[in-house]
Amino acid sequence: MVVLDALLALVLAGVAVATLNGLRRFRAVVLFVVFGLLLALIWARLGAVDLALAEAAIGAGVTGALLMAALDRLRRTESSRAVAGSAPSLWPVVLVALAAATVGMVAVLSLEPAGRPPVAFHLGASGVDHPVTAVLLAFRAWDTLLEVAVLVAAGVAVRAVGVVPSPPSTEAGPLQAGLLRLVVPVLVVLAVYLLWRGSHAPGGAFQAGALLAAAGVLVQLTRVPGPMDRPALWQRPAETIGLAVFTAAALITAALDVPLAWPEGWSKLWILTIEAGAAISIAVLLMRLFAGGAPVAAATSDPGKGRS
Amino acid sequence: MTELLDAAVLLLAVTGAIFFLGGSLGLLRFPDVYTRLHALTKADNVGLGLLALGAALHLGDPWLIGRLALLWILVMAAGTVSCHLLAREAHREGRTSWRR
Repeated sequence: MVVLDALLALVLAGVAVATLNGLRRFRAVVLFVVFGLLLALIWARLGAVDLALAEAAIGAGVTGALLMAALDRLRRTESSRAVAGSAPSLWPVVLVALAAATVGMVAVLSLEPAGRPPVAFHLGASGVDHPVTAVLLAFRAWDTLLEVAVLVAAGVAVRAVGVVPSPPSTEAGPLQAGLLRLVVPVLVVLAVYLLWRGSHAPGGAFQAGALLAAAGVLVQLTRVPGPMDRPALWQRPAETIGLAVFTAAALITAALDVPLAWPEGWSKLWILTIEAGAAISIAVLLMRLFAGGAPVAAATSDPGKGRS
Repeated sequence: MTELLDAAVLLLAVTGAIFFLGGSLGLLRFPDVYTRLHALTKADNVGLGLLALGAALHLGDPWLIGRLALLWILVMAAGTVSCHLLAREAHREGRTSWRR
């Protein structure tokens, strides 16, 4: 297995260099997605399955879709798209990264071995059986609350851009529509499963939200009629529901005892409720990022015509 | 019995890997976009199916086997539709298919 790991690390470095060196942007985007998938494999090999799931879903999947949409917009807006000249030299970046990695490795190796990590020691008190979820939503719930607030701020920022050309979409042919009918329900079920699984195994709000966002992006791309046509109705509430649920939980616990200290015996229910709200907000926000601006009110009702 | 099973698992995994190799070779060596898509989607779907079957025999847990089957079906569906979309786009751009 050492050979496999070494090969993975080498290929990752090679793909990173190829991604940055490419003069063609389409190639760079494709290589970036490959990079994300390889990184996810490496996280999985290191035993960090939560990170692997997040990297594959958000780093490779959603970011890849975002970059593709950006590329399409660039093609439509730029008059001359040829990038002249040679790529800037990567060596300064590589040297800085190597130096930082060396310092980091020395720092890690000089740490005292921790023995039994404190998270494992206190896991029983958190109400969930998965250490990552316990840290995110019990021991350091305050951090996560602020992160959910940052997401809402990001949604406001995207809205502030105003109405932009919609992402590329084609009329759904029979095959695409068929795939949608198969994949969207499966993605929704998988998202709920991952959310539930987060209480005892790798999974949770971010991974579930990314899967839901993937389903939403697929629907956006294929222009099927439905609630997606009227985003103004549901997008704003859905973007804020995570923060609303989390803040309400903080206020209620503050009134009861200590803010964000879940009542004993009920913490799993509290955590799952907050995560469900957060997953919905994350999903809608990622879709919002893909669309790239304020929701287009009525223009989606006439497919086929160019939207402005 | 377990040895027989292990041999079957090994055979399925190696055969699956050979199909993947064939698909990759086709992607690199075939002359135009249509034939390359053909090599990639057809051979890799069979390769993945054989690998999944081997893994299913090896694991033996019905819950895990169900998930492997779902994985294979989803990859096949996504591969088929992506292949169709890429080929359609190439056709619309007016790319002609390779002739001997």
